[in-house]
Amino acid sequence: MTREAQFESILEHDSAGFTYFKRYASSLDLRLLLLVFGSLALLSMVIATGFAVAGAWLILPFAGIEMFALGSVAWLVLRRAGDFERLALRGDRVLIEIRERGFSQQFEFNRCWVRLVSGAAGSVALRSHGRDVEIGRFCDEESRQALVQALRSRFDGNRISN
Amino acid sequence: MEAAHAHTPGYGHDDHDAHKPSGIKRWVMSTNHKDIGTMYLWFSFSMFLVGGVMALIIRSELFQPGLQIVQPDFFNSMITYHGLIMVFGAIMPAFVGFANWLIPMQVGAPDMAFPRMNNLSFWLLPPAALLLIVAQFMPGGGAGVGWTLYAPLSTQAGPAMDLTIFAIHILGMSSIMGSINIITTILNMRAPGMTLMKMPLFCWTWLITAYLLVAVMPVLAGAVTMTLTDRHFGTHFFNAAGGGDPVLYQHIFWFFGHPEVYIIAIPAFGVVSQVIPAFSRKPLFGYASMVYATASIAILSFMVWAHHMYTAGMPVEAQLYFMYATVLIAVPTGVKVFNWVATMWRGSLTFETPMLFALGFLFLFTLGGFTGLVLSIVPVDVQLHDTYYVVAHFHYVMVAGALFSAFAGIYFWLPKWTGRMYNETLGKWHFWLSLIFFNVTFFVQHFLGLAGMPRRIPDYALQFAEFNAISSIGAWGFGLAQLLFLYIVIKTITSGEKAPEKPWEGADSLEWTHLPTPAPWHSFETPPVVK
Amino acid sequence: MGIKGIWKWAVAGALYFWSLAAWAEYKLNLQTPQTLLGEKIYDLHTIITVICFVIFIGVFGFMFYAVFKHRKSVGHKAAQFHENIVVEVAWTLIPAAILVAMAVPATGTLIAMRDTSEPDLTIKATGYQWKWGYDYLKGEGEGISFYSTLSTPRAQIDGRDVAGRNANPNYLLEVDNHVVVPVGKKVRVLTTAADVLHAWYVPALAVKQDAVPGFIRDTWFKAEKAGIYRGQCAELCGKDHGFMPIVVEVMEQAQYTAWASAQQKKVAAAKVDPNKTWTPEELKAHGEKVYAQNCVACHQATGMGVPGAFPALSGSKVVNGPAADQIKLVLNGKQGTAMNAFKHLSDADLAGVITYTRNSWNNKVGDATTPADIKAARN
Repeated sequence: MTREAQFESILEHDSAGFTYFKRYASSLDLRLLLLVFGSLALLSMVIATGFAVAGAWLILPFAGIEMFALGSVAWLVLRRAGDFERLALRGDRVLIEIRERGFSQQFEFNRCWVRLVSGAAGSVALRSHGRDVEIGRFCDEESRQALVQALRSRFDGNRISN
Repeated sequence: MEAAHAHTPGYGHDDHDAHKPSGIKRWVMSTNHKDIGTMYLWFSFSMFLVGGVMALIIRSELFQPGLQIVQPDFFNSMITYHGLIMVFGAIMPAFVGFANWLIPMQVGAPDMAFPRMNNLSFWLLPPAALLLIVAQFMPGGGAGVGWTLYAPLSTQAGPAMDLTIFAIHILGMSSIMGSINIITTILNMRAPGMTLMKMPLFCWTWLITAYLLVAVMPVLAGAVTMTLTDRHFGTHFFNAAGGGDPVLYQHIFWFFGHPEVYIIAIPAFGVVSQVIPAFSRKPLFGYASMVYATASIAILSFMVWAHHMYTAGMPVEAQLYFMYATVLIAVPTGVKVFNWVATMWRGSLTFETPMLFALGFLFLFTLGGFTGLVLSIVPVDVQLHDTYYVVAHFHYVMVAGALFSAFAGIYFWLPKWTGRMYNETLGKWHFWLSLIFFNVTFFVQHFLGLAGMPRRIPDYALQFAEFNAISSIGAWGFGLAQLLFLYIVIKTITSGEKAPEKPWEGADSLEWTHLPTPAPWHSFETPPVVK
Repeated sequence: MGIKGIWKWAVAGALYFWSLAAWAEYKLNLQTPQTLLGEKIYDLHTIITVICFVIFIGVFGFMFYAVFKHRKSVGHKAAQFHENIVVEVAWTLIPAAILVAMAVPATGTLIAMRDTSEPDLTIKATGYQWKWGYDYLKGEGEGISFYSTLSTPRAQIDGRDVAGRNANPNYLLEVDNHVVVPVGKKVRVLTTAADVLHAWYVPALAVKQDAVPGFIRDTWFKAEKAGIYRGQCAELCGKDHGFMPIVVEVMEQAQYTAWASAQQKKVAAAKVDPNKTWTPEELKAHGEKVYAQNCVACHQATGMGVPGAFPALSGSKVVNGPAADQIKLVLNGKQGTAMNAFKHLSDADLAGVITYTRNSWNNKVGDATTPADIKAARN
């Protein structure tokens, strides 16, 4: 199971335009998650400190390791919580919006100049004026092919290069 | 412009498993929650057999007075590893297996939150199990110290003890990773509309269990590490000669150990709470109070640890406090039992194998609960502590409780998992044989304990002979009945009848209502809408 | 029908056994208590078991009613209720009230149980791997001190004398030296241990107290009737945990007085003159006795030990090496193994046992370790 599994996607295309949207599957109870993780870290610290006072201080390092683990996971969840990829075709404009690990980027291309190029290891990018923007980055092979199929018909005037 | 690429180095290398890979790679590298769940369950069953063989060695030795089959050292090693393997190798992984299979499907998620971590937390288990088994062949044999690993006996034990400590560390890491994964999945991966109070009770029980696990695992890790440093690095945590206190170990161990009891029992409550409504064709009675009762049990479980050590020596005020707090746990536990019975009340009951096991659970777990209540009363416990009464009590809770619930779950979800039906007649045979032999084995142990037979002894006085013989016969019957279970499961997988889309009329969680049978390899690629 | 039948039998069987558990006198219940406190505990257990049994019948009465009447096969249609606040509050509060009712008598008994004040006789019980040592600390018999070791012949245990075993009513529950106490007197038992945890447990006297190395715990009993009461170590303490019973002999006062003074005389007589000069033969003969009491469980009478668990002394490098090293090992034990420190034995005992091991089996060192050597090594 891959990245794909953790993302929800919407792929719509009709005569008017084309929207492709994919985002991290999350019920976004982030505050609750942090509350639970935070209380856990606190609880195990309180327990470990209690035992340390009673003379068994060797629980402390393990509580510390656990706090670190909980913290890393919380950081990981937070970092990818807002990840999404949106690709919209409106008239001649191609709008691409990507947020990955908290880092956002936006691109706007003219449809006439856009070409689909395939890169290493099966990745696909849109190329225009020498700029490549990878798309379908959260997809597995199968759904990326579906996306490429959908896009290919939109860019059928443009040559597909390797 | 390569900017976009720069943020995804190596992208494309890790998604080759979109199609189910074949052969061993599918399992070793698996990040699929269903495959990992399957591995957990098979691992658990293998450990159940290993621990079961150890139990049969114990019961065979105890069949008659005298030392016939094994020597005391080996006997002590068997009771130790039977306990460790059953608790950490069989029962806990079984319910983690259920969690893996079911939680993503029940909350409408595509998979667990951290699939790769999931893989790692499974693959830590086999090496740990191997260490526990290899420990038997160390010079001096396995560590005959009991599963509680009480100091200073554990300080004195041979090198097998070090392997055991190492194995416990690995198991602990696995549990913590598994638990964090489960918490994140439940809190963060629910489908739109799946509010917490709409989740199936199984998810709730696992959320609470995972919380408990993460809270207490450092305590266990610390306890065994201090044993290790006492053994080899000159510390004196538990050595009175060096200013330490052997009883401190017991406090630490049971501060972990009592929540651990609920870590085992609570997911079992969850399974039963899915099965009973399904076969009563009626919604679970008092869903909200079930959630609160489970949470109360979890909170109380931090406050009662010393009821395992009433005779270790503590001030009378402490004994009184621990007695009152322990007795209090009977209230939420009672609420759960009443809720299950009320769920069945005026339902439309049928008694397929999962329901039979759930009822077996309900009946015998409650019996184990009552003997627990008897044991919670300090003056009575002083008579019964460390006797076979305790052995009988916790086997009612662990075997007729957790294990029967796991069987109920397996029979309940097997059609969903494999797309095939198990053989109902054989399933019922499995239930009745298990039920009868379980009681033959353990009911008589109450009498042994009342009459004063201490636990963990390889040989006993003649007045205990009859009940020990009965108990040993029961144990062999129970053990052999589990081979029937293995046969049933293999038969189902290889040549079971095709299961209907929804074999259980009353089942109403997402995996039954929103997914085909058998469940597809990927669960919810697009989140279901929950009303 | 078949299943229904089995259910009925299962229920009937369970009820049958349960009722026996609650009422029968022999084997199915706690041992007949020999102290007033024991009787209280016995009654407490009966009351709680009966209350549990009644609740059990009530709850499962409902369940089995539903199982038989609300089944689909008799055409029962499912109701869809799933909440009832009144019922839920009731079944939270009523059990809570019952539990309080249970806790009240338990509290009284517990407080009485823990009151070890003003004893007539104080005995210290020390757990060793694997025997008990008793010291009469205060009261009539003060100064008496002895070990109490399992006296069941090895042949009965390992199956060489099955007939003897079957004819032995006290198999595994008999010792060489009984703990003797007077009837009707409050006996306070201090428990401690020399090596690992043990527990001093005599069911008929309703006492069980862990023996913790380095700490003293206490408990008490006042036997109402003369007799011999038997118990066992109740805390896992290693290999021979199952083979260190406790035998308490309760005597009428007059008999006890006689016993105590005889013992005290024996103690005085047996007190070895610390300045006595031992011949090597005397040391070896004395050492053999000490060995039989302290060492034989692990190292065996043959001196061959148990392969893989306990090392052989016969042919051992330590035993055949310099005496000073062996003295040090026996005095201080070996960390991380079952070999404990034997500091608590007297100089003469240690000198004897070391001399014995160095000159028995295949060991022919030929030297004799004197009590003076041990005394020197202690400092």
